[in-house]
Amino acid sequence: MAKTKQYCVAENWGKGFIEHSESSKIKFAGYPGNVWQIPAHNKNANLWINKVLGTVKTRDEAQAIVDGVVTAEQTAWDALSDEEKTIRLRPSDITLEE
Amino acid sequence: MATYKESIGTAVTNVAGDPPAPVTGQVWYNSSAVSFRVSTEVAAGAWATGGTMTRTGDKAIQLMATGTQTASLAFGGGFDNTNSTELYNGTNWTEVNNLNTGRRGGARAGTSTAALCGGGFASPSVVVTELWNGTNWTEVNDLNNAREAMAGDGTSTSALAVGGSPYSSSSSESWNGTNWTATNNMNQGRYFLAASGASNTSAIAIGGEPTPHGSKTELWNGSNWTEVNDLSDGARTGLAASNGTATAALIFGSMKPAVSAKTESWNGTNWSTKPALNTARGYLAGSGTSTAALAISGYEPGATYVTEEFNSPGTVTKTITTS
Repeated sequence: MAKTKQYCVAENWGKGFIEHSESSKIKFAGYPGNVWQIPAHNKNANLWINKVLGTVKTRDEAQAIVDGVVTAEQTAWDALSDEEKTIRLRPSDITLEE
Repeated sequence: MATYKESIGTAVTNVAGDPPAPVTGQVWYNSSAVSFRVSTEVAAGAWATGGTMTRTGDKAIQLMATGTQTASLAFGGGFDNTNSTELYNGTNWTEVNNLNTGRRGGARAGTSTAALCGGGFASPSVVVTELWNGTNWTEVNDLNNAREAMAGDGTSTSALAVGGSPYSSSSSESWNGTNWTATNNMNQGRYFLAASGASNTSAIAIGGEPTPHGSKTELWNGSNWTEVNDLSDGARTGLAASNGTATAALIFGSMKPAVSAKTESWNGTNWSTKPALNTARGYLAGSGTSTAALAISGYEPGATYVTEEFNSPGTVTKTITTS
């Protein structure tokens, strides 16, 4: 089955990175590590990747980047005091769609 | 073929940037971007990335914020309970004078020129309340109960502070511009909740921990809290709300059950799903209205300082291309 999502890495510079006109046409999903999920085989998505100078990644490559950030955050949480743990939630694993 | 001037009656204007309030269908030449631009309508609403805050490090969670989408004040927050205060003008964030007491997760109310910050966590939770006059923060009378992970709404002279931790508080306090007064409690004690309301007599409290209450909404009529319709898309905690009213609010983000980009709109009776944030995040802050909101900072996991701007329905600016 043809994939419906694609991934890229691009640093979010803020204003103008994603415009209303872009997010009204395609669905963006940003993940830790500057990983972005956008539709595959989509002209508007490809135009956006070009605009933000995104580096296309496979789903597994993108997952590895996300896992790296999440694992680091989980390790940091595990090292917190019991008091701090009561007022912060432990970061959950994130699984990217195929 | 008719020219633009023949059809519309005016020539395409040359602007260094974009005009401040273009009307739907207006076309102009942006000499800065070297492109023709047009104002179009987004019916369902959409999020776009906004300016990036100036702060760095571990200061991204549980900020407090108030104001409009183009004039917002964000203050405090972070695992290190910062006193940092920043002002947004719709494009850029600028650091302004700090809170006297750094804290996170307090109650917020007001505007970018007249704001209120009450309580929060400063290791430990505090009762300290401060007022912002557009230039400086000044300490005023304390809350009655020290709490953090609470929510607030209203103005700098008529506000509510609700919920919080410790003990999944159901506490509600009313601010009259001078003093805090305990009111009747919420029905469900909770923390990491959000609130939206115009004053200390009209507000809603939304979501939060513990999970069984995470989809609950309660309405404040100035005397009592009453449970009203639940969120439409499940429980959420560590969410944010616009600076809305009890009849028009927008909520976004969540930390639990997973970091989420979900957005919902309240019309005074029911919640309905709106387009999701571009980046899922929890422990974020919110300002603006239900139709022109600002999502500020948060936790992805990992800190994010990029804001997002929601408009629904509204005019957005598009660049005209040949494709």
